[in-house]
Amino acid sequence: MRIGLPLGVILLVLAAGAGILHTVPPVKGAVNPAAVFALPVTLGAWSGTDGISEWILPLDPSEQTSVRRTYRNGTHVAWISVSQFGVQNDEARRASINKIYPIQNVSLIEKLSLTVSLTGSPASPVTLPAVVVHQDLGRLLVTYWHQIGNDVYGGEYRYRLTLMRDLIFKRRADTLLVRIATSAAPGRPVADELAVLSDLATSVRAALSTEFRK
Amino acid sequence: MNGVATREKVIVDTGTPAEVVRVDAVPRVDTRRAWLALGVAVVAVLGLYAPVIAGMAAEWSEFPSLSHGFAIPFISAYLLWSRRHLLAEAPVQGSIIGLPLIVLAVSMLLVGSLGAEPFLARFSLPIILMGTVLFLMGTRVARLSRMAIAYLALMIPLPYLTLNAITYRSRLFDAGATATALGWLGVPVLREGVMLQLPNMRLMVADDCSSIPAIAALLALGAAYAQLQARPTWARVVLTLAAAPLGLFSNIVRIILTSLGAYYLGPIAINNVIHKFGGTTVFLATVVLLVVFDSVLSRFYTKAQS
Repeated sequence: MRIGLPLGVILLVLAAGAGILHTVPPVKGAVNPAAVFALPVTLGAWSGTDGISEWILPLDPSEQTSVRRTYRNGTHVAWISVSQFGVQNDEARRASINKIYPIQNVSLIEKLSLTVSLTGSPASPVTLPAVVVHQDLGRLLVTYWHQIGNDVYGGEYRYRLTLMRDLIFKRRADTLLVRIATSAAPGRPVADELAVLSDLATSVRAALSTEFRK
Repeated sequence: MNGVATREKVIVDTGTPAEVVRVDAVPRVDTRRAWLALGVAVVAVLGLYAPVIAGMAAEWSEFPSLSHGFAIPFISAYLLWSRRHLLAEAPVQGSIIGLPLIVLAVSMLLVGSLGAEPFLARFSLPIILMGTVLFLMGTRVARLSRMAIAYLALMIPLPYLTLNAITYRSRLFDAGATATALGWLGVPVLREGVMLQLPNMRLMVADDCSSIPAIAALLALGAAYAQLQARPTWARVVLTLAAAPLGLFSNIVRIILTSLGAYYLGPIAINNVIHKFGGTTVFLATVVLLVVFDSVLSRFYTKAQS
């Protein structure tokens, strides 16, 4: 007879778990989709045209909306992509989690980090991940960050933890992925290219931030 | 907690009618009901975890490097079956230690499912099974079934971020080791990251060629192999862990052979059945290496035992 008590306790715990799983509200969208379109065509001395090659910044199958532009400043070229991801609890999202920089026909990916004052204030710099991607066609320098609402996340694990927290407690967690790429010429120091990326990152962040404050 | 034992009086006959006495017996355990209760609980657990298991199965079928996941539950069941006589004789006495494990596992399931972190939800499955066995059947049964339950952890794909990072590092390592070996063998090669430039063609150590997917499957193989025969625990641990470096070694040898073939024979060395079934080749080579390693290892523990 006493076996019934532990079995009952187990079934009760399992039923409670199932109850919670089936009664929570579905995940909703949170980010204003207009934020994606807040990326201006002109960023200081840079002027942009729509479109980026897949070989430079790959499209992610899970992104809902994106603005992808090629910017030119004299002989310099940079590519900027702002993508919005919704329904972050979708199983399919995980398969696309690495579509940040090209990985096909890439011989080497060197990790760097880029410390940028995205808010314009040197007191609160953010360290962004950056990579040098060695391809047949040349070298690309790519930096990126994730954004939940108006908050910027450079670290992948911190971003995932925050996303998990928001999914559980707020049941809403659309995010933005901002990627900026520039070609890294063989003779040119990487520090110079990083400075270009840093300037562009500050401008993009300011434009998106303005949209979020509306 | 003593959830399954029933206490009763028995009559002990000492031979003479005057000495027939009533004494407290050792608690008699209703093992059949306990096993039945365990069956009901396991079915309920599997019901709760159905979406988690379905998600895992989808990944096993989608990614060839994870396909060994299909075999794991069967091997785990076999490990239990191989101990069925010991399990049948084991005293059944539920332990309260199982309850916190069950609560922990359900919490992990909730956080993982609601927070879209499937690894967390998936990893809670072996924990809840162990907790259920402990809570209903007790420490002896749990001890006998722990390997079979722990073995289930090998069917869980690693978190994507982690897997991605270590796969890339493994590709770099494999390409570096191959380039070094080719240099020793007199083959001119220029290595850039994961690319190997031979005089006649360029090869890339792709994700599928990396040792990491193979190592996950081979660890599962090593763990199963180590459990098959009676051996000391240390020998089982060594055999299980040995599967990883042996798999790495087999995979690098395969890449070296493919590169040599590409250098001497041309593209046919890449576009053939053996290269396409590279994973199977590595798997078989590692099985052979494991058997050889086991025979070497057995000399040590046989000598120690004698």
